[in-house]
Order: sequence, then C-alpha cells, then structure tokens
Amino acid sequence: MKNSGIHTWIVEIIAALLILLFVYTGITKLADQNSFRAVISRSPLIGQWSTFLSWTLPIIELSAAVLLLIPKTKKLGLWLSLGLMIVFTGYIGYMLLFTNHLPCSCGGVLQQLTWLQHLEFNILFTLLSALSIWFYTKHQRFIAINRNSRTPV
Amino acid sequence: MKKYLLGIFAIILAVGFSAFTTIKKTDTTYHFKNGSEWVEIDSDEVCVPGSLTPCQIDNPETPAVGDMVTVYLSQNDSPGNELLRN
Repeated sequence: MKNSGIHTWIVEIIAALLILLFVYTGITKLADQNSFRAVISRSPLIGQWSTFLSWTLPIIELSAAVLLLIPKTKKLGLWLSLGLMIVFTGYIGYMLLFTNHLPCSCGGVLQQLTWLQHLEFNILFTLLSALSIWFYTKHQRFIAINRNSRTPV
Repeated sequence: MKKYLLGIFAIILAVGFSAFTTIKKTDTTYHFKNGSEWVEIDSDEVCVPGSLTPCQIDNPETPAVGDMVTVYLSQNDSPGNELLRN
C-alpha cells in the first residue's frame, strides 16, 4: 500500500511537470505564431507544412495538458505526452544528425538552449513520460488485484 | 478538487512563465559576404553560441525560403571567425 501511494505521487508530479511544459510551450507558440511558423518554414524536413503545424502543434500540446489534468483522461494524456516527446526528440535528433542548417529554436526560455541541450531536455521528458506510464499501469494493476481479492486497502 | 490542485498549480506557473519570460528581441547587426562585397543584416534572430556549425540566417537580399547565409559579427571572413552554434 505504501508503494502504491508513492507510485501515485510520482505519476502526479510527472503529470504536473508535463502540464507545465506543454502549457508553457503551447502558449508561447500561439502568442508568437508568426515567428514559430517562420522557424518551421526553414526546416528542410517539415517546412512545407509550416502553416498547418504552427496551429496544430500548440493545440495538441494544450490538449495533452488538459487530458493530463482530468483524472479520467490522465492515462490518455500520458500516452499522448509520450508520443509527442518521442516525435519532438526524433525531430531534433534527425536535424542534428542529417542537416547542415539548424534554424533557431521554438521560442521562450527554451530558445536559449542549444540544439544539443534541447535534445537532452527532450530525452529527459520522454523518459519521465515513459516512467509515469509504467507507474500508472502498476498502480492500476495493484488496485485491480486488491479489488478482486476483496482486501481492504 | 484536491486531484486537480497540482495540475492547476502547474498551469498557473506555466502561464506566469510565458507572460514574464518572453525573450526580448533585440536587433543585432550581422555581416555576410555577397560575392566580394560585405552586406549588413539587422536581425532579431538569435545565434545561440556554440562550437559545431556555422550560424546561418535568412538572406534579406534573396528572401526565398531556405536561402541561408553564414554570418559574422564583423567584416572578417577569415577561417574561424564565423559565428558558430550548436
């Protein structure tokens, strides 16, 4: 039972960190939408979809934050967060490995990070997302087992 | 309500950060060599310092998408004087 409590707290804290990250980056991108679109348009990989991505990316980030906030949709939010972080990390990794032109980054405080630092930051949050899903699943199994065995928790 | 407390706190923090930590865009004068002539560019693009690749920004002379030029802080294109970024 003690472990289950700790697991719950870990999931809550990681979810809060993800909410903080996605709300911050989502608002920053929407607030300076023109600059964000200009940055994306310089990317050799995704430049042709700059207008579409400049709207959908921040909306998806804010949606993930809302899903993480509501307990019933937290699991979906965690999976969406993991998916987003994998995509973002993959993009940065691809740019670092295969392109000569590295345009300026997304904006806000993260703009001050180098591309390498940004990669490290994203890897950290990807691992945190995966960890929270693991603990969440473990906690859900714990509840199910105890419910089935009719043991008061 | 307790379930939402940490999440709401995170949202308030995020809104606060985004409101108070916008990067001040100041124009910096960069130089690039157009053939044999030096051209100045006033740009608010940030070349975050690093050591790996030359810093490149949009060429204002030919503003097509993807037309990037290597920039320098002064009119000196000696090897090693280009602005580098990670």
